[in-house]
Amino acid sequence: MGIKAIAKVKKDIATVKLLVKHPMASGKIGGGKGDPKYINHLTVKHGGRVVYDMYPTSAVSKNPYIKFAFKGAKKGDTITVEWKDNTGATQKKDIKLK
Amino acid sequence: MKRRKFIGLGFATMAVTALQTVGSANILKDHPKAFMDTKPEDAIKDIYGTTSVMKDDKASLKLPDIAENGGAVPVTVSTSLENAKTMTLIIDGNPHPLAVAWDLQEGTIPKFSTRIKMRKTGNVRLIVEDANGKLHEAIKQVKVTVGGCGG
Repeated sequence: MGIKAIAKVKKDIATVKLLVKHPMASGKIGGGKGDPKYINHLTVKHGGRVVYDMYPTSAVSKNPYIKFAFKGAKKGDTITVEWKDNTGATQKKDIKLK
Repeated sequence: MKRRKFIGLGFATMAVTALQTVGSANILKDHPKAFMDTKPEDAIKDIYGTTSVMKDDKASLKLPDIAENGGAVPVTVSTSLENAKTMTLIIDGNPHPLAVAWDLQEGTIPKFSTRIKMRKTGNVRLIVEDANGKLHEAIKQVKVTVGGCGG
């Protein structure tokens, strides 16, 4: 499971586009098969400060696409994307702003 | 216990308390029931304690009129309000209507895009909680040709 990102800074605003590999399965309750497995918390940090705090559910499409922008960024800065799913699985990735 | 050591302990306790306060808000942990509710009004009530919303132009919801694939409907949510606290996306026709919640951060532009699953034709709502805790709503009907909740 990976995280693809495009993160660009223009003036001092960073625009971040993420593509997170995850099944986002709703399980039987949503009309599917098997057990639910979906990301229920995703955060992005910049210099230790949270810049994006999202609580998805299985109503977010498979392999979630996420776009947002925040102020106070410089080219070369690092942001950290971290998610947790309902089964307790986690993933963390550092991304350099271009 | 010596006086100096005692004061030191006091400061240590204060520091720990301060750390816990910063960033301790967790919408999922604070309002778990809202995510399991099966009626849109219940989800709004369980997360905000009220269903009283203002239908004004402060909350904005961008969605297609017709979604050919209910499994991936592009959506953009935003608010013109300064210092809004949270945003919640509700899909009326889904088994669990609360689809996404965001805790808004200072310095982040409150305009987010993602893709959502819609089981059937129905209303999608965006609730924005402003700095005073008042709720603002945007609502839009989306026609779904092929539902997308399986899987």
